[in-house]
Amino acid sequence: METNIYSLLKWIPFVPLMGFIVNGLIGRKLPEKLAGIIGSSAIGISFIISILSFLKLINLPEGERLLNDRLYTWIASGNLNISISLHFDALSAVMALVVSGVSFLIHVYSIGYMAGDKGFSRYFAYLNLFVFFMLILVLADSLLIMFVGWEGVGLCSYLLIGFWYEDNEKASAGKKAFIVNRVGDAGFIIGLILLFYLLGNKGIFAFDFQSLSHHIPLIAGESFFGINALFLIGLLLFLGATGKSAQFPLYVWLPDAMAGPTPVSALIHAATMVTAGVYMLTRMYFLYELVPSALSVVLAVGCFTAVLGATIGLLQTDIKKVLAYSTISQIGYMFMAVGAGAFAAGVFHLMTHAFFKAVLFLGAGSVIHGLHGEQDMRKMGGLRADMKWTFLVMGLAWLAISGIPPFAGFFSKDMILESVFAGGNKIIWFAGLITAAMTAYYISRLIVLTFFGEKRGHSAHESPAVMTIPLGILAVLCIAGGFIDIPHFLEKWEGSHHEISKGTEDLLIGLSVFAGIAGITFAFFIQKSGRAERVKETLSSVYTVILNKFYVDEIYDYLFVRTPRWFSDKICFRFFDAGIIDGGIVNGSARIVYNIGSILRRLQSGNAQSYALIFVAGVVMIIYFVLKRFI
Amino acid sequence: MLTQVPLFLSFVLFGIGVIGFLLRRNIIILLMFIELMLNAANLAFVSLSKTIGDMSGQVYVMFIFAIAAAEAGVGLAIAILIYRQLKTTDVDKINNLRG
Amino acid sequence: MNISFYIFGALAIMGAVMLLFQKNPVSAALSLLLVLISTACIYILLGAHLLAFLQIILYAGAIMVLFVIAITIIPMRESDLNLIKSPIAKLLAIPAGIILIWELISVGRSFNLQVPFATSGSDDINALSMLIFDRFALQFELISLLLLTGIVGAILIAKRRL
Repeated sequence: METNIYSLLKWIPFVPLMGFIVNGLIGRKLPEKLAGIIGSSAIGISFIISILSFLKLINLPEGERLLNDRLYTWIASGNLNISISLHFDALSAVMALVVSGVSFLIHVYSIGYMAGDKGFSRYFAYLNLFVFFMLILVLADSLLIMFVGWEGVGLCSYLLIGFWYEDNEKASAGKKAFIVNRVGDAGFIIGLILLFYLLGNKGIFAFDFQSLSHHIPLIAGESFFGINALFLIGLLLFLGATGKSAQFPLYVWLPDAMAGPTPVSALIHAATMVTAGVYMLTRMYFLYELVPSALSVVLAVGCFTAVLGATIGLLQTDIKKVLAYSTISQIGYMFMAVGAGAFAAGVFHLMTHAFFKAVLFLGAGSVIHGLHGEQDMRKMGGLRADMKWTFLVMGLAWLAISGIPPFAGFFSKDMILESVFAGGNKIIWFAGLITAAMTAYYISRLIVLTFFGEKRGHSAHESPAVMTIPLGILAVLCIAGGFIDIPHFLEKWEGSHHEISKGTEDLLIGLSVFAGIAGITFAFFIQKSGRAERVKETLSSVYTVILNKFYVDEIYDYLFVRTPRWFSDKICFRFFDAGIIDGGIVNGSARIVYNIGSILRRLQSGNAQSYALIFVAGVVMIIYFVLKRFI
Repeated sequence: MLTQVPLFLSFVLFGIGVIGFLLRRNIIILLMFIELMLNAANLAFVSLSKTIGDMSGQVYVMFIFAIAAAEAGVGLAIAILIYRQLKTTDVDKINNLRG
Repeated sequence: MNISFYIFGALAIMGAVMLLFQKNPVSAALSLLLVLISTACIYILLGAHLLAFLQIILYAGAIMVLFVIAITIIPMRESDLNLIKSPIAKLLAIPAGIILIWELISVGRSFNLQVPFATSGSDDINALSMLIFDRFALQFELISLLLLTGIVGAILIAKRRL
């Protein structure tokens, strides 16, 4: 398709980069407000440019909607020619708008939340850097540049999770995030290498998405160690996605990541970074459409994670952890959509999830801010009267996530469940339905424990306007977001799905709504009248297992931390290094030389006659050889 | 008349000299055995000079006389010196150069 | 001729073997003297009269006197004159010596080196002096230098005070 050059594109990521540089270099000397304004307006400008680009995009005729901006040639070596260029089509437009828009609101919110913190300017610098990398990720026109953004957001995630680095636990949470991400990235890199190798064999050295989509079918038949190559690549890339998007088995970093400031959790771990995996899979839809078996794996993993996340979230007591597990579960939904081939539905849910999860997190942040740092829900309660505005917005988000029409979540979640059902995966659809009910339950439980009932903790004060206004805007989007017709806009990615009859469709919608309402009522029922205690007693062993997050962290610790450490210590270090190399080779050779020396030393007795004896022996030998020669 | 006996005699004397040198403990006796070995070498020179017919062998013998004399003199002087230092003539005890 | 030679040969060997086992240092010196004189007699039998005389004058006359003087100066304990202590040496010395003798004899036999006994008179001393002062003149002078060095060295080494 014809590409149009639109040179404003590069400023979408670059203005935040400049914000990072300014805040990073001189931010400490600026007054807080100024640093905050610089950071937020950088994103704001980026958002405005995104809108301009979007407007230009939709003015192009359909089928030609692509804007490009070429920056410079990065690697030009032999056949390989990689340039840094940006690529703006419908999918990138959606992502860029969501990222820059939600980021802008969160930046403004942070001015209030982080007021007084001594790392204020550092925070805004890191946040701007994050948005820069995220925008690079969604605007990149080749897999390699996207990977640059991919790694960059991982780095910024680490920096921001461990923002209060003086606390060891918080720093460790940052490390955990980075390391687990790395495991996923390793899979991603191996997939990339495989792809490059196979394409290179066919003589193709261009890796931007357009040429990839043309040339991927060329290697559809290749296989690697007996496994279809495309399947392998698809799985490896998906492994990277599980790391970045916190799916099973690499989700363990997300709950710990709640150690970072709440706006960070809202931005990175709800709205943007964790959705990078979904974006990547959607971008590479042309690959995945050729290997439906890989999509089945994605579907299964997504479903499993959704159920797992929801189950653990049922019993958590920390308000942010509930939301973390909720995120894991909701992204599972997005991957379910992808796995069923309905990429557009997945992106739609990505957008609505960004809205309501951001509200939930920011609202939780507002509550925490109001209670001066309390995060345990058992110590909250009855805040409905104190924080009216916060209660209002969180209530809207609550209804959105539970899938109640006409709020945003209803449309997207329902579309996903429909696609799954239509693809014939009835069991998975049912699991999704149960998860929807569980979702409604745990969020309602959160709302009840926080805002209803008697006050178990202190009183709280409402947050300042700089925090509540962004909340409000996002809440409006929770209501209105469902009506943005993303699936039509992204119809290239809609995927082929089987048609289902209108009657079945209505039945499915009814069931989803019913699940949501059932969850809500059940929550009120149990939480309000204290029946929770009785439930806990009856199911105590199951309760403990779920409360302890199914001991996954402990299992990982045993398998991946203790075992290699034992191996390195006992075998590699003690046996090989100290034993064989130090003791055997280094010291051993010295000892051998010493021992031979002490044996040979006895020859030097100082006794003339022993010398003479050797002398005579030598003479005897020589004459012997003379004899041999001449006789 | 021809015979190989003088030559063999010199070999035997030399061998006995070697054996004695390796077995005795006193320095002076060692020097005596060295003289014995030199004497055996002289005998060999004379015998061979007679065999070949060249008189140079006997000239060499004269040289060896002189050398043996010088060496005996110096050797005994050293033995006296060793006795003065270490108060012993026992070769087993003279091992200052032990390594 | 044969018999005289065997007698003197036997005397020489006897002297050498006695030297091996003497405990008394003077007796050892006398055994060595026996060997030297026997050798001188063998020289006469071979016809090298000059050398025989020189042997008696130098070896028996000068060197043995030197030995006896040294023996007089240095007091020796009885134990010093025993065989050495090291068992290895005691074990190896005799076989080493015997092998040496055997090898040398083999060499001699293979080359068939026959020595003629002199039937008439001595060698020509003229010829000998011709060799000394003509062909080996340089070596002769060097030997005299060596003797000088030996004398000076011996005196220096054995002096009590320089």
